[in-house]
Amino acid sequence: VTTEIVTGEIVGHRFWRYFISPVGDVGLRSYVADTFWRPRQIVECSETPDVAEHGIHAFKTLSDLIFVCRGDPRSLLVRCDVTVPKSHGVVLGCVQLWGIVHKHSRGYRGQYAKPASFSEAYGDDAPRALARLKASFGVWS
Amino acid sequence: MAEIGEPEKRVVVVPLENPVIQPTHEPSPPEPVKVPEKEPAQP
Repeated sequence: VTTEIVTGEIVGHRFWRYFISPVGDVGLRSYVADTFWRPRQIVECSETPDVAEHGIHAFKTLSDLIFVCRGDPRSLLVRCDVTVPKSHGVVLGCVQLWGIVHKHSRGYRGQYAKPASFSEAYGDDAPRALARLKASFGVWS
Repeated sequence: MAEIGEPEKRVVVVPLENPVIQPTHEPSPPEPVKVPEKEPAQP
């Protein structure tokens, strides 16, 4: 199997859960996993993407992401009520991926990642949560 | 995030910023330039 080496980053589309602390701070976690995403920190997957389905997932296009949501990103909110602790909403955006990256037909699994932009939020206090995430991560849509 | 489709290709992406892939050894020093001590004698 040949491995192509490229420079730069791959940018994909993904969604996260956000949560609002009792003092009003807005935090970010992966949608499925409990991984925290923090400003100025790189997220590294626990196993390299060479292992099974591991890796930080993202979609190639926004259409690929919306297709998974059956056309409505609000459908992602169902998970917020079943997480412990409760999540307050979901946010859509773009992520930069690098390191070992497995390309799939509709997306990627990357080894390293950081948010590149946040574009939409749904859930409790969504407009303010979106603004706080953009400011704290220093990324814009 | 499991609906990303069928696997296609494995790539290694080296970022221009935030490099996390480091060389595993120091680069070799440059070869010294060899300068002849004297011009060869002319016949």
